[in-house]
Amino acid sequence: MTATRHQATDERIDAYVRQCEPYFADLDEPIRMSLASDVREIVAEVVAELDGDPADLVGQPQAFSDELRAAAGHPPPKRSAATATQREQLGSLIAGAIRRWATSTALPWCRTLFRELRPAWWVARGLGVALALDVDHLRSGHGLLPELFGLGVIWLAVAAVFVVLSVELGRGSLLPKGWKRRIAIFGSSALAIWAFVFVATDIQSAWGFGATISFEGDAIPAPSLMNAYEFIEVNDLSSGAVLFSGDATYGEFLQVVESLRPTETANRDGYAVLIGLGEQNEVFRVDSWDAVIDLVQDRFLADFGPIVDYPDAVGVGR
Amino acid sequence: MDSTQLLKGVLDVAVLATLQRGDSYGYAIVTQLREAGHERVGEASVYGTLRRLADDGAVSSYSAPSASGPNRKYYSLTPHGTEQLHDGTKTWRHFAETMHYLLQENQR
Repeated sequence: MTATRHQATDERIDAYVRQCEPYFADLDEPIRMSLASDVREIVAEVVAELDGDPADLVGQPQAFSDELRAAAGHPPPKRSAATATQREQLGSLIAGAIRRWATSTALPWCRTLFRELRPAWWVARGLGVALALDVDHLRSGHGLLPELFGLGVIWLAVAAVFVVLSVELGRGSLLPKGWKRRIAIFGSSALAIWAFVFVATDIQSAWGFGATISFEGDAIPAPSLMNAYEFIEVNDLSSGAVLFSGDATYGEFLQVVESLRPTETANRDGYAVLIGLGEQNEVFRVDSWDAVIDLVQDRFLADFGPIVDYPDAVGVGR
Repeated sequence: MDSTQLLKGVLDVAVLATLQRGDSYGYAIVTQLREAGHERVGEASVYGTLRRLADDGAVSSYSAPSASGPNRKYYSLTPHGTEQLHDGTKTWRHFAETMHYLLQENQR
């Protein structure tokens, strides 16, 4: 800790000396070196006495350098030398302000925030570990026992246990400090993060974020699966649906979704793109709109009932 | 009138006078001068003066450990410095008396 502090102090002094050196640039090298050495000595002594930023303690580098060289009996700097360093001076002022803001405001704020968020992370970590143990179950929402909010009761109970264990681990009351605790923290955190990433990826896939549908030829906006969701809800086709979307005038493409989760999208050379349906997960190429209708009716609609002619949608009834 | 400008002319004497009380280091000399009434004296001015006095042989220096950080460079008055202080004191007194006389004459 002390060594780190000394190192930080040395770095501040070095930086200050570097900022002063350009103001001695017009002097002979031995004098330059002597003055730079003086700057280091003075700043180190003052910082040792008062502890703080050199610029706050002894003044800005330009004023300090000018004063030092005048007191040491050297002529004032040539105007060009001073002008050449103005940009560096401005840069050092900005850098100094940022550094002071970071050390006096941002870092303490971050430390406090992390400290206050730790309990929340402990809870999340417990949930994450429980998720990691049963991601598939969570995803499907299907279990032998009753469900609550789509989650199995057993899973909820297990999750509660893991949350308690994670909180106790975080508070340090579960395991004493040592390699066992470190391994437990690292392992559970890694497992939880993996589970969260897995679930996030799964959700992303389920909602079609990132899915791309593009067409050759005339540009047609890709359908929004969020719109698909609204569409299905409105029409109460919860088990699966055929959704016609896109521009109502052209009716160029078709999506089939099941439980709001398209399994695959593809773009082919054909006239329309069909999204795979559930576990069938097939992608078809079609050459015409009629082929799309036939395909949907033949392959999918037997399971899901008749196509409804939605006046605001495209296709079936055109 | 800016006392900083006045001080510049006699800073050598002021620093030497401080060292006449005993060996001291840069920051302590700055503090003593400020406590004596020269609040605006800068560190660079004092250290620069010390550097010049050392080059002239008026002061000598040596290092001593410090409790608050790196070794401190202590300065002490040399015989030449004592002479310089004596001369400077005479010059200052003459200057001050002259100014005092002039100012008093103007007030009459």
